[in-house]
Amino acid sequence: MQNLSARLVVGLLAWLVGYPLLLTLLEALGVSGGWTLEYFAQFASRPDEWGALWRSVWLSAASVVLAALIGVPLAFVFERADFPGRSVLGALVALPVALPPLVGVIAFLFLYGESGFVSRAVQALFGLAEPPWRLQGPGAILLVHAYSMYVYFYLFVRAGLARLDASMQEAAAILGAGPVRTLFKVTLPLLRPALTGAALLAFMTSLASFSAPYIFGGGFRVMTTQIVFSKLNGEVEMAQVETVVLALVALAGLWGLVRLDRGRIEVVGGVRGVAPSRRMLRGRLARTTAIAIGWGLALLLLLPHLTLVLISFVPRATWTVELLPPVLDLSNYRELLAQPERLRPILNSLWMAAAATVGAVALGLAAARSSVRAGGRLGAALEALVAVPWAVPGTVFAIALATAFSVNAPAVGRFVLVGTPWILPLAYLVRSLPVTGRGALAGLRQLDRSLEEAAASLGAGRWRTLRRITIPLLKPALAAAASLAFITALGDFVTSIVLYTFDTRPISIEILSSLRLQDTGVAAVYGVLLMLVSAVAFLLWGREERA
Amino acid sequence: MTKGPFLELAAIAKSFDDHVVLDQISLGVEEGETLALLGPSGSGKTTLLRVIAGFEAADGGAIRVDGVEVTGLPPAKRRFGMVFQHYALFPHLSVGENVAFGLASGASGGRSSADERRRQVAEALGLVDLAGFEERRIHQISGGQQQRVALARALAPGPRLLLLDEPLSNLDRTLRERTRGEIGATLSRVGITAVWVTHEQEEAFDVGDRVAVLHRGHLEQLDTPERLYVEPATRFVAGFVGRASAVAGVFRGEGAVALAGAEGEGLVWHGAAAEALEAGDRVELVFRPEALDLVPEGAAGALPVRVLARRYAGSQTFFTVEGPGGDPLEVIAPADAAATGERRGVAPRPGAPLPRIFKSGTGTAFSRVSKPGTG
Repeated sequence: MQNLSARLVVGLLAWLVGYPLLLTLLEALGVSGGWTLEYFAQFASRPDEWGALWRSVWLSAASVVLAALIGVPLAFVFERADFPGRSVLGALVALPVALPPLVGVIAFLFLYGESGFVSRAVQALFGLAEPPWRLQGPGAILLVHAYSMYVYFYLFVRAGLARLDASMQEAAAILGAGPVRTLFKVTLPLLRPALTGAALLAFMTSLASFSAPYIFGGGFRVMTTQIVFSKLNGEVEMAQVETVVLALVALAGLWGLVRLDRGRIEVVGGVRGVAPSRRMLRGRLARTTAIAIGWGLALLLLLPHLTLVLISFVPRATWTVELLPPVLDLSNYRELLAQPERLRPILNSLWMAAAATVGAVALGLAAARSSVRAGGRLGAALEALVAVPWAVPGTVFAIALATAFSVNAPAVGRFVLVGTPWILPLAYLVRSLPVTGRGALAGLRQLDRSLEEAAASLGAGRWRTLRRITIPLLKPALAAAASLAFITALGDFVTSIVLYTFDTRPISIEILSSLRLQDTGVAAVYGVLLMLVSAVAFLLWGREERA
Repeated sequence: MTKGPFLELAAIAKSFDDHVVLDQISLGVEEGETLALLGPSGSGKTTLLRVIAGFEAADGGAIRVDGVEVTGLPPAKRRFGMVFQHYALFPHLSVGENVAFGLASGASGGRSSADERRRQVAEALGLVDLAGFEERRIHQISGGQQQRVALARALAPGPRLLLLDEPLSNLDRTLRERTRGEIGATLSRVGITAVWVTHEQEEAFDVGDRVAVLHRGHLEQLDTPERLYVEPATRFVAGFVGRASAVAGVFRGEGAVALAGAEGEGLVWHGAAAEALEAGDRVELVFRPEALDLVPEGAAGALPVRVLARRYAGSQTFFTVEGPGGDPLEVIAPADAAATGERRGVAPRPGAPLPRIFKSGTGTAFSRVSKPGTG
């Protein structure tokens, strides 16, 4: 009975997660018109394809390095030193992670772009005739990546440092090791799980990154943008081949980084020594410097957010050559409320994200429960299936879903969903599964199994046990996962651009078309709304995580 | 002409936020000697060890090794070895790499060649009976073995001084006693000067050539185990080191104490004054259980008591009796000396060392049992 339900869940997940990817591979191999490697051969013979692949890989590697260079020292400063404002700043520093990628990108555009605040200021300062730079190409993409992904290193390394046994460093010191040797021989090796975890996350995120390359890339194509352009050009098979290649690179990256981690970390259990103490910066100079750097940094990190808010108050076509916008009013917000067509994307995004979140939580919980109960190979298969959408870039999934659900063949489990209002919520749901599934799994693993058994022994049936015992106990874990899933779906751009229809266009697509129409103010309003909702969900998530 | 002690602490003081942790501690440790630092948790013993190691800076005072001041030196420059309470073995390094860590850093006075280093690692591991364990991972060996690797790692660079911070507190009881003996034997074989922090009196007596008793940041007494036991200098030492019971009275001069209370009416017992006393002072006579004896009720010079409990411990039998003022006394007597509830007399055992006389109210409560933890 239990195995049956576990198998049902496996079947459902396989249909939603595995099947579309498999179909994409098969179609790239020309399954319907006879097997062929022609499309792969075409891929291999085109230098621009190889170029895109190579750029995706080096850009991701460079993003990891840059993110680490910013995040790791920050983590050390905030964990090891104490100075006034440390806790407030420490929380602010993690903020960029809560910004939906597209919103971050347009905020950067408004701030550092050709007609952004910073370039206008530099232009005015030096009396230049032209904007001092163009925010384009790999440099711009890397800037955005570093800005959003150092947070992984910052959070992971801080947590790692907080757990670190202080006597390790003392042992190194008394054995004669200086600070540098202690750092490289003892502290950093001990932080290795945190470092590889953050590197993995940053690498996978930048490999899947779409918004920044799409907006700033120009002719500089990476795999994700290449796929979308192939699709838009009607080269469906080429898009499928590219999708398969990107998926393979992502899986190879995942495999490589996980392997790198394995066999080397041995966490010695048992009691540990004294927690490392934070060193209060006492010297006047050190304190002033720390405060100045800290607040300067916070301002720098908050500038994109502030810019977005400011731009949202600038009425259309009022800001031309001035250093600062001459007029500020609420006209953009009014326009949004007054025009139903402008309001529509918001409602679309809200209901689609909500539906996807509910579905993803239900399916994630079912998968986690079945995985824990069934155990063994079935359990492992469930866990892997839930994790796949995380390892595979969003663009890949969008193409896979577009491939699977544009054909009506109910006998083999294919329906026409592309072009209907259901494809985007479904896509969001699948993309959120890793978050909700892993959240539920983590919660369930901590749950004392005997609590459910006690309920059963008191005469509660399976449904009542689930409703009265399991779900209330899992609530913190599920709420955290749900809020994360919701903000991801609400701000989604990667899958939306491949799968949206005009009637179901989400906020991100509307931001893009507003930008195309030079309607920067309205685009900013959408951005501000996304930012606010995301910030609220992020705070909620943080609170539940701590609880 | 004698030269000064090998390790010398002069007036070491340390406070945390107005709370005095170390109050002008001065002591010396002779070359090759093991000094046990004994005290209850919160006594400052671990802080003192960390000051010696250089992990904490003292607010005042000086530390000298072999006549040379090291007070301002960072830990890495002191050429000391340390065995940490939880070993602090590096989990990402093998046993051999752990032991070699101090060799490579020049703690032994310069970079040694790879072969030389291998030989030194093998020698250090041999010293703790772990020859051939070089390639093992830390998590693959038992707690007792980790303990010995920690000792080998500390000894490998040939430190001038070895510091041990409750090195046995992580082991279970049977293993603890065996390991105590092994470490003790290793220390004397190497002939190294050592400071060993512990909160267990038995451990301190076993491993320490001399024992320094710390209490609330004070050095109460530094002496051999025998003298600590027989001639405790303070009321605290009398209670903390070994078992003891107190009989209240009034000092009459010349070691004579008139016992207090209705039961003690007219009784005068004798002791040795542990501090300056004047006739008429309210005092306590502090007895070890073997320095008292159970005698028939009403015997001459005996205090009338009632037997509250009898605890048979094989080689000895402890009787808890209700003394004057309600404080129970502990007496060792033949197993058949009395049964619970019976009335008897208690008197000083003839020929036993004289009990110490302390002023009343200068020490802490009696049955204070030290708890494990950092001091």
